[in-house]
Amino acid sequence: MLASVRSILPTVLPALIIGAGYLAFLGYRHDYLGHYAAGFGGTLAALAVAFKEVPDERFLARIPARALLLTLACIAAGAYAEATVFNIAKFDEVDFCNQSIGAVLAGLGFLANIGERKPDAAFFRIEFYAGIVTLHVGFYFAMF
Amino acid sequence: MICGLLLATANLWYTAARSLIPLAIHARLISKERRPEKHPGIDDVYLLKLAGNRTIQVDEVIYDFVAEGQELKKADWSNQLQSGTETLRLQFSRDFRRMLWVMPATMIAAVVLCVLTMRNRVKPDTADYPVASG
Repeated sequence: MLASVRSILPTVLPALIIGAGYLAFLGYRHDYLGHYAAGFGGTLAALAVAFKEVPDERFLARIPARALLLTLACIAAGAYAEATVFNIAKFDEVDFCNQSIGAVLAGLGFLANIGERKPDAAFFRIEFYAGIVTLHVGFYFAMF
Repeated sequence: MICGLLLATANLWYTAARSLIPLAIHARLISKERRPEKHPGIDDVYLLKLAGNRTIQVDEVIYDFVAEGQELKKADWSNQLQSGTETLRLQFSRDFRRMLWVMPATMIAAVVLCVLTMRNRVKPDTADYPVASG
């Protein structure tokens, strides 16, 4: 368990540092942090679910292009949500950028964790939990 | 990574543009509107509708300064906004100044993660190389 948590540090550590930066410099606008965290968490959870079942022998060949596509799909889904459900005053470009930055860091962080072979199931499970927790934290900061 | 760099740059641009400093304006203000967001009083949106069917989002101080029906004038990258006979000295918002710290950090994080990914993927399999002899 501890080893699995340690294995996802390259994904979560840079994101945590940037999140601390949002809090320190833009804490008075905690909705910015919320959008960033929600974008990161949602994308990380989606990546973990999508790639867990990819067969081992095809994993390394398939993952870079597919992770890129899935990250772009998450950015598009975020844009759709911002334009519809969260379109309270108007489509906020800054909110969109913040959530998309989170998505990009999740995609890059996920790829940075992949070595020469497919990680074990625990890795995907921990990445998924980390994503879901961050998504909820983001939702809280964005909405309340 | 390129996507991350573009998004961080876009974030800086949008927050800077709301101060109007980078923009050129020469139009009559038709109407102005304050729209509450999720946290009223904190993240309200201030919109100016200009002649020519152009709507721009501005910082609160600009919204308070301008009056409907007046001619707005400013050159791009000037910090002087003229509304009728009055002139406002423009400043970048706190959002923009703080983002100047956070966005470069996100760019560095994106580059570092990209380098880590490349390093993981381009590990040469040394067993394939002939061993030099002699």
